[in-house]
Amino acid sequence: MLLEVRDITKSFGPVQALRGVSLGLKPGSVHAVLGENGAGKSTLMKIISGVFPPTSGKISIGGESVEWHNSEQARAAGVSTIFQEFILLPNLSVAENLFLGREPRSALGLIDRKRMYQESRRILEGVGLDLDPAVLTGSLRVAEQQMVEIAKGVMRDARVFVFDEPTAALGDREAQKLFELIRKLQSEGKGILYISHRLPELFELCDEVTVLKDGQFAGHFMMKDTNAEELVTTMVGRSLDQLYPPRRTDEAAGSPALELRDVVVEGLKGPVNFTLRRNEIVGLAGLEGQGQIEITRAIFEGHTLVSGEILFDGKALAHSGPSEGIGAGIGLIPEDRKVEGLFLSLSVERNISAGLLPGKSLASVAPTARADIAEQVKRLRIRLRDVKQSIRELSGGNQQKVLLARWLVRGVNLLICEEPTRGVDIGAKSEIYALLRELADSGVAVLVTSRELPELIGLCDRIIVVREGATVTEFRGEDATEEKIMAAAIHGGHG
Amino acid sequence: MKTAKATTATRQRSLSALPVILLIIALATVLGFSSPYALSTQNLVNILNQQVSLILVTVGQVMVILTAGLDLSVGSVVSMTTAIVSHDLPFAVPLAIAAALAVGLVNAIGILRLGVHPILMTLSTMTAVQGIALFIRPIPGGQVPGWMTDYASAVYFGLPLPVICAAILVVIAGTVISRSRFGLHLMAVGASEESALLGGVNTGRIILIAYLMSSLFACLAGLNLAARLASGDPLVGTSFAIDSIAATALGGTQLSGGLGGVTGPVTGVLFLALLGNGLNLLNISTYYQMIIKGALLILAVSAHRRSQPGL
Repeated sequence: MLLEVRDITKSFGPVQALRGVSLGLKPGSVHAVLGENGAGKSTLMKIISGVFPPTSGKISIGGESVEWHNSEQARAAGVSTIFQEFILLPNLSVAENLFLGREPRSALGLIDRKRMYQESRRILEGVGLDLDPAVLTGSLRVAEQQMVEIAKGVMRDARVFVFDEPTAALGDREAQKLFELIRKLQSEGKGILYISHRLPELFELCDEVTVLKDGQFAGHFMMKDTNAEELVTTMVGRSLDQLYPPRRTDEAAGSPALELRDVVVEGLKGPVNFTLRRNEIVGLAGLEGQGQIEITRAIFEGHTLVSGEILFDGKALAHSGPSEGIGAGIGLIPEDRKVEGLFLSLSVERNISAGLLPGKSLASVAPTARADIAEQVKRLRIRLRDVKQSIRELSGGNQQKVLLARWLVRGVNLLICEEPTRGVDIGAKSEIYALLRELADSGVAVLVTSRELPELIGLCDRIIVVREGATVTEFRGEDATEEKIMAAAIHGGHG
Repeated sequence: MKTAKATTATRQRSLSALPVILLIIALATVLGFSSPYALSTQNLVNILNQQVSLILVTVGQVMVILTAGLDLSVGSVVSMTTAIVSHDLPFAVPLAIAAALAVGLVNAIGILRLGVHPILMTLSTMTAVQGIALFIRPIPGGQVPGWMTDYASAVYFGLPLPVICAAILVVIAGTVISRSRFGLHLMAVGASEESALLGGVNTGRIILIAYLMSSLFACLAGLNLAARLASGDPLVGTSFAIDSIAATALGGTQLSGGLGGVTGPVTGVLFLALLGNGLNLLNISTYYQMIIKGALLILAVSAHRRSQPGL
């Protein structure tokens, strides 16, 4: 065994995050760690990468028992972790990031940039990255930054690579490139621990999988001997017979809520044409960065359009800022929950009531809000101790539900969800899908963007494909397949 | 992957000083046309000599600002230094340096160990050290060692010795910041202390050194000022903290840390000095001068705001 963890326990005060978890990583294998949010995956990863020590239990690497108290020790022992939040510094060059703390120095004691760049270029090429090491790291795309992180591990002769949901922020093509690199590391005999919620990619990439549930070991499978159903059942503890709620059956859709006519958003080619009716969930699909977010933001924030018009409830959109958009009855659950959606330092209650304010007088909010909030918390089954609890302590799925609750207490006519289930475990996913459907049934128009095609196909009544800032085609949910959508997203039209 | 056109990190850092350099050229052109004396060597050398202390304080301030900190105590350290060396003590200068380093140490301990925000920590030491300065020398006066006044009046190659010394120090500090491991680590800490720590930087040590250097440079500024005045003054440094921060910001170093160098801030000092001098020569009242300076500061700083991707 390259890396072995045995009977790992970790408690944070009274909370037991891990109870007797064991796992063995063979050289040259990709080993998935699967579990719902809160199952203890991240805690296990952080122990393996040295962020904090376990309360009890043993870690050994290459047969030797090790004990480390910070991530530097783990890295020195050959464990390289690619965290979800990158630790690269945006204001330094790629080479400076690679060599941080061990910069080559010239005779004068100054940094030997020439040598640093040369060696960096060699290392970057090794991971298939053709980029100038002098370039500012902050100007790279997420995928490239991730590659640089991996390069940093390669450079330090890491034997174990730990990936924490590496594809969460990647498009499909970039993910494929990452997989290639992981396979290359694998062929060099490195051991790879791979955390992800996305079952399909686990089957594509991994050899074996360890499933955690509620901080405990729940099962170990060889990937080739198992299937998605078995994994989900092990992970959730019950079978998820239906991840997606049934689609609307009656063909009589509601009245149009939102119409985009020949819309050209600033910075995009356009034009965008589509209609969204009440009672309907419509998805915007496409490769990454084809204008999905620009379109949703133009609707929510009321951007000035280059041309065309957006009709909301039959009238041209007249607002010019998010708070007016909210006042008009539009809600947005943004792509980046932590940065744009939540107030991480505030309580659950305040995070929900934050959506109440725009366009309403304080008096209309104060006396009744408490009851409404409590009702929504109950209705959405947000798992928490207390509404005054910090939002930070909630899992991703529950945080996402809080954002949903924000719009439910206020009442909206149009809800825009950018990546409705990003970083959300599978149990909460199905709950969120059901809630969105319930919302649509109650007469709200729902617009969804997502990087995960199966999600759009499973959830939406119609899927509109965008390419280079223009709508190219549209599929009915029941007719859509990943192949059809991808073909349209890449080639345009009905490829 | 196409990155051919992307800005390189070193280029990005050196570019940050560009706006203020352009401003200086513009200002010099205007002044050259309006007053023949303004651009005379004599006047320019005078301005440089007057600004030596502020330049030194600013160089130290930059190191702290690069770590995303701020040092408000520098002015009080300047005052305290002049107060100490104006007493007839056997080891006045080493004592002043030790006292200044003690202030830097206290700042760093407060920030690192007690978790006090840099502004509040240095605000506190600013107040306390001001008290010490007034205690040591309640009213301006005293006398400094003869070698100090000799230093202040010495001229080599047509340049006052203080100007030469300051230039040497600026070049050394600039090289250290832009080309040494310590300089790189200052930027790393300024962008994200946590990431820098995870990336293998001893962040505590870097922050400690930054505050020690800031105090040390303030002390050197105080020594220079005492030499020029040939006496001590407990309130002489009052405006230095604000002026050094303004010059740093004007020079394109972001107060949020992680980006910048010495060239910009030093140019910022010279710009403000040239502006003040020019307005004086044009007989514009001090009140208007202050208003103009404030307005220009806003303009200049907003011109190179957010030039950094990822921050």
